[in-house]
Amino acid sequence: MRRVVVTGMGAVCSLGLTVPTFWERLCAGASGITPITRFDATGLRNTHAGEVKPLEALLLPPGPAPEDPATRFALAAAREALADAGVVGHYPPERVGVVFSTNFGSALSWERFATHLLTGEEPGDVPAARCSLPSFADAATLVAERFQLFGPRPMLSLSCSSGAAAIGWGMDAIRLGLADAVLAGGHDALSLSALAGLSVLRTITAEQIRPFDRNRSGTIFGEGAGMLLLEEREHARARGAIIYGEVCGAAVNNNAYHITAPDKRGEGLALVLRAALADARVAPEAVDYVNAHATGTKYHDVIETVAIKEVLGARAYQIPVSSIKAGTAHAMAAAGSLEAIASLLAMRDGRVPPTLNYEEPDPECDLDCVPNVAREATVRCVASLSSGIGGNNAALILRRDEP
Amino acid sequence: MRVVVTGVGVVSAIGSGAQFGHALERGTAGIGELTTFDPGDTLSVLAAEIPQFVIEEYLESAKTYLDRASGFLLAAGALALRDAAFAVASPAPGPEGFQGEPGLSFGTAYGCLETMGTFWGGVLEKGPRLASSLLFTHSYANTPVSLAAIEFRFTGPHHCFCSGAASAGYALANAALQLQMGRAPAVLAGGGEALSPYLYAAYAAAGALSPGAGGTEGLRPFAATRNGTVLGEGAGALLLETEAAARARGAQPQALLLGHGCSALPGADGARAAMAQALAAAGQEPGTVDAVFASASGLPEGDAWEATALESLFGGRRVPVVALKAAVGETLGAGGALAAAAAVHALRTGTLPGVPGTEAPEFPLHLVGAPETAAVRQVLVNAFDAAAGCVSLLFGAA
Repeated sequence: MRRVVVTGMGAVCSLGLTVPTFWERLCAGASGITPITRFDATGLRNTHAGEVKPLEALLLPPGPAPEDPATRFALAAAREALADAGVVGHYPPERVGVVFSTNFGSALSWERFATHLLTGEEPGDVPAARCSLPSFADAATLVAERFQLFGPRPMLSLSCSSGAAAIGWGMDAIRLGLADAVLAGGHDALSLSALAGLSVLRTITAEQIRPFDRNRSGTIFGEGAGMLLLEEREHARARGAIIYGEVCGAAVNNNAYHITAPDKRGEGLALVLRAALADARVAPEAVDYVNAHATGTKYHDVIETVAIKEVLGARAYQIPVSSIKAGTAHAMAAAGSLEAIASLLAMRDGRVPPTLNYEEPDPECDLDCVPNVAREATVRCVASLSSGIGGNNAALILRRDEP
Repeated sequence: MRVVVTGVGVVSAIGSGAQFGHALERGTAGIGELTTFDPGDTLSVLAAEIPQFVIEEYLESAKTYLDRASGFLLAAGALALRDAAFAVASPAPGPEGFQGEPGLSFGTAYGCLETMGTFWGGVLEKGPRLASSLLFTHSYANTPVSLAAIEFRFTGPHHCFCSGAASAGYALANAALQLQMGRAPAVLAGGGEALSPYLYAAYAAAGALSPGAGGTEGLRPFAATRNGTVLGEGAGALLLETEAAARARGAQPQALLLGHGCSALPGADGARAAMAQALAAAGQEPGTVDAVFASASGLPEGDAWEATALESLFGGRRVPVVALKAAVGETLGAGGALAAAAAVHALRTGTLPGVPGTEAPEFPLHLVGAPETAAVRQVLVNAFDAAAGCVSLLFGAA
């Protein structure tokens, strides 16, 4: 079977507008969570979030800048990933796919459009005539046109497992020969509509995000984009590309349990991790870092701990299991792809990013979460987990590029 | 490894369940004057609606709340599983269950738009603190497919594609891909879309709805008089299984999914490449194709691209072209699934469906108007979107 490697990465999130800044600040224990400035956050459960700012500082390719922030994040991260890979011109346009994912698409445009339709009022900042439906495909179409990438262009929306799911689909497309390279990843922007809904669902903490901590009380949302340039391994080697690592396994599933309530037995998450390991033909003992989804909600972090222990057995206690969400905030569809980038850099640099705001151990979350300070460690193989509303789960297996 | 279709379920403006097949054979029209909401500030008044949809007719248990898109998708899924006589063996998968769990792969251009709008209206009116958690939960694009996982207890591979009118095409292609990768023995796949004032207003504002600037309103695929599309709603679901899995449970294949192709090359090139890839993936030539279920929706540019691609692929041969959207409307995320369901029906009955409202094409095409009896062994199904790319699927007789 054709193998798939990562040769370029692009990141936009609250911690930074490029991969080097994101990674440096993440490992330094910085947090990008600040008061929301883009819209009036009055009435939300928490008025802080992981905002990307300033928008004007994003490095975009030539051409008009898109109005919608989520589309802008995707375009900036795509630019960085493609430049990092140095891949432009190496493949016929129809052999390079664009596989993006988003939860809310162009949510800000949609809010203004809906406001105008419901109330007849002009939204103020942007004319209603320039706004429309929450288009999910806009960013992929724009990126494909700017960079002339005309391979398969499926758009996925799988709540907060979206980012990992896009990378998994890109891996499949290359394995099966639908494309030789794929630009894959997730993007989302903060919006009042999403935060209002997530507030009333009590997913958001009124306090601080503290994954795995005994006193955790919810997550903090953020935004951004994470893009990976995936390539068929032999093609990448033939052109002398720098390889960050191999995407050797992926799986996406659903708890089939409840639309919002977590399945406390963690079966869905355990199944998806087991399926991804089987897909990668990797034994649980070979995993030496788990990049956890851990959002800091009361239930999720326990469920994830249970699932990791169920699948990795004794190995779960021997390896670091950290969550970067207290640094980046939970970047929704971008989360899974930003976390894949962090996982690949952990392998490259031998440094595991920390779980911030960790103060009091929880006996129910008893794995080594790399509290507060990054740690030097040899990392050869990473499992990165994601899950989201509706019971979606995703897992990626990433490893060093070795024959 | 061969992929077989063992069950089909449809909810559409021309009929649901077995009625869909009867409507195809008779050439029933699904487009009429919009009744469920005010079309607003536009010249357009037509739509292909499902005016009296009652979810309880399809499911075992009552539901407290469902967006129409979720309702359509659950109904089509339930019909397909019933048609396939498919029962999930183990309600709770065991620790080694991952290899054997059935999956879901659905498409929708906009998901639960109406619920999203109602939710946002509540935020505007009462402020974020009093937003409705129920409406929010039911407003995600993936809500319909996640509800299907719960309803049918499908814990395997789970995908939701939001690729405009190509959504169901990607979803069906992905289902075949998941089966090929050995990730599931069966995948319930297709797509759904619901009409709403938001959708209608946005398409009208974008100038995509007939009659556009003027002329007669109607969805006239490939016609010289085409002047825009007419929106529709509905859902289609196909149960796809590996041939071995179907045989093991004694299920009878209705058709085969022989190959798929997808390309986002601009214009006619993408349409042609998708069809050519689908044929190549199946080891077939254009000469073996008996009919094409087109994606044409009455849009001036999109129909021209597809016609050009068909002429280029088939040369001088005028293969029968069924433009189903003239009957069921432009159902966006459901489009490719309704066309696939109609294609399976044609493969089983040897009748190409009647499509009312078609006019003489502007292009040298054999456009099917009245139902036609023909030897139908292989059909291409197109699900094209100007922004999200083109997907083509090759189905064959069982």
